[in-house]
Amino acid sequence: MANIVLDNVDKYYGDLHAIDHLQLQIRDREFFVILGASGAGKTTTLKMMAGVEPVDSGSIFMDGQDVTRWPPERREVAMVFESYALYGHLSVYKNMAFPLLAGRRKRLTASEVEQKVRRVAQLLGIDMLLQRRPAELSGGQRQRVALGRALVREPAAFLMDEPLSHLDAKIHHQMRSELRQLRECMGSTIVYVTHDYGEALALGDRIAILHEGKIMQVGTPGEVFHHPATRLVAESLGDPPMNVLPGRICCQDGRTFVEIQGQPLRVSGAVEGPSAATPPRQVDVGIRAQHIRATQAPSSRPFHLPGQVYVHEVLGDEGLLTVTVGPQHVMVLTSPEERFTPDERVYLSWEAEAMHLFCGQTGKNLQSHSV
Amino acid sequence: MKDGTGKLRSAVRVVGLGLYFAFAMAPIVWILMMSFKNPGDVIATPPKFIFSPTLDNYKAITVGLESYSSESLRPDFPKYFLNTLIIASATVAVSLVLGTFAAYSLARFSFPMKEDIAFTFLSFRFAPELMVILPLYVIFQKCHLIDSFAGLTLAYQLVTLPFLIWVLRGFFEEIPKEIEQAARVDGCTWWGVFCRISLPLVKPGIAAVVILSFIFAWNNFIFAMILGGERTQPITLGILGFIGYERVLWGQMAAATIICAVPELVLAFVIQKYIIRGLTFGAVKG
Repeated sequence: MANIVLDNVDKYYGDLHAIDHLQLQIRDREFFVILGASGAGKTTTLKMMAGVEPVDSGSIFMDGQDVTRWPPERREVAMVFESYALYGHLSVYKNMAFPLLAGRRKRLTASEVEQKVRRVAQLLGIDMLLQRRPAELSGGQRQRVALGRALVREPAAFLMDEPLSHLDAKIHHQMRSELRQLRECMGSTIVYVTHDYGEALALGDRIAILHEGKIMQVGTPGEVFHHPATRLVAESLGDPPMNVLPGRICCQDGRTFVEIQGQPLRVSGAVEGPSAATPPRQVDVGIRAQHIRATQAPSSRPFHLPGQVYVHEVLGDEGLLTVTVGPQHVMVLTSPEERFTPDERVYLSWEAEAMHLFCGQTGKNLQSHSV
Repeated sequence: MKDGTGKLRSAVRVVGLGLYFAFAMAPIVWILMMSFKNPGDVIATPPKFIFSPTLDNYKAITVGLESYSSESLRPDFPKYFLNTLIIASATVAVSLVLGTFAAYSLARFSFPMKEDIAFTFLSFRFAPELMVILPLYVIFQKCHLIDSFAGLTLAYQLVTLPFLIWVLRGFFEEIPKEIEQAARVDGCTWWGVFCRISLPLVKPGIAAVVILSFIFAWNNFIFAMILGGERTQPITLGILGFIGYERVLWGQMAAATIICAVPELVLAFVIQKYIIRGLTFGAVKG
């Protein structure tokens, strides 16, 4: 039960500015996801919240208290490490009981400890492994022990660093729904770090996208997916990643058009910047694979982009079509029944509403959305 | 074809290892045989491999034997043995306490001149003992430490402490930092982490350095010779006593050597399983 505020937090590793003026406000009982590629500073951010990594400047507040200089054992947080960080000399049971017995926390009787450990072990399906050593477990089992070691406690906040990354697909999905379930009944704040956008969208109340130590955007899954603040945010959400085509934005008769390879497409809604007075300028046009239609014949619409089929892969219940448009590839999701042959000419079209416009220089989203 | 070369290779390996084994074991077997020979058999040429064994040598050095000269009636050997045991144990105990903390600090904390300090410790190991023995002698004399157990224990730190620090530092560095961080988050203080996580995890390393330090201390000669005396004389010097003015008591010397080796062997067997676990230490990391 805690809100966590990171105020202007900086962290350097030698010359590397790992965390750059980080501002985050995590609400009480929120499932907050930090999404980013490896090296973005996600783990560092989490470790600073836990107190095991010192902050170079700025402050961290929990429930309004400045905990920046507090040692980790004083902060009421539990953490799941990506490397599991299990205690190799202790059995699984002792690993999970460790946080209940360590330190200055409220003393529990042996039977209370056992009860708590068994309950969590059952939940995670590791109750038959309690007497083993971590070295005798598979990667997925170890990860569940690491998760269990955090869950036995009732901390103010859970900090989870890629807790599902090493699980195989089946357990991964199972654990994902377990986590969602847990979050309902635990009533604790959860800060969850992942590089998997699917996990982020499925689990998070809000998502922060971190890139090179800077926050790109914070928002609900809907906001960040449908209204990405920058091109980087758009590209980090979705599989296949969003297609980005170079274009030019221009104004004609008070209407805004975007021109892609000489073909104009009317832009819906307001766009920052261009007016009749300003000269046309470079933009990046982002369009998701599922919003593009590919047809063999030119459609009757005014806008269709010609291209050549590069490859068409049928993946079970969907097809992934790669089309060469000018110098680059565009990914299109098709139905599995559609057939395309390589080098065939196709025409791509999409609805103006599905399109995102990003500034060619800064990558900022140029469309203002009423969110 | 491939099978043939494989067999050949393993045959060469077996022969090579056999030769090395024979080379390494020959002196030990020879000493062992010598310790059961009577004086005549020891110096016989050509050497005798078949002889009637006797326990006289062992009796002479432990409880004393009438037939030898009067001095061996009250043998000094048990006293030397006890001296060595006291000095070696004390040395290892002191080194272990000091060295574990030093190694942990060097592995985990950052402070100014850290590497220089670590290197200074190491440099004690490659400075020849003879180089430091004279200044040490003068200092010990001023401090009245000559021929005292405390003094020898102190001097032996030069041998065991740097070794212990460097080996244990490596073991502490092996422990992933995140394990210690996890323990901090789980509610342990710095000291709690050290006692409950780090120390148990390096147990195999501690076992290995304890036995090796013990052997170093047990076998030390030069410090004991210069800084020791009648009261504290260890076996290494005591064995020299078998070389007398008119004769060399080869048989007794051999028996003393064999008895000397027993504690080291026992220790090695007791701690062996930890050393083997030390080799598989990596498997614990997750």
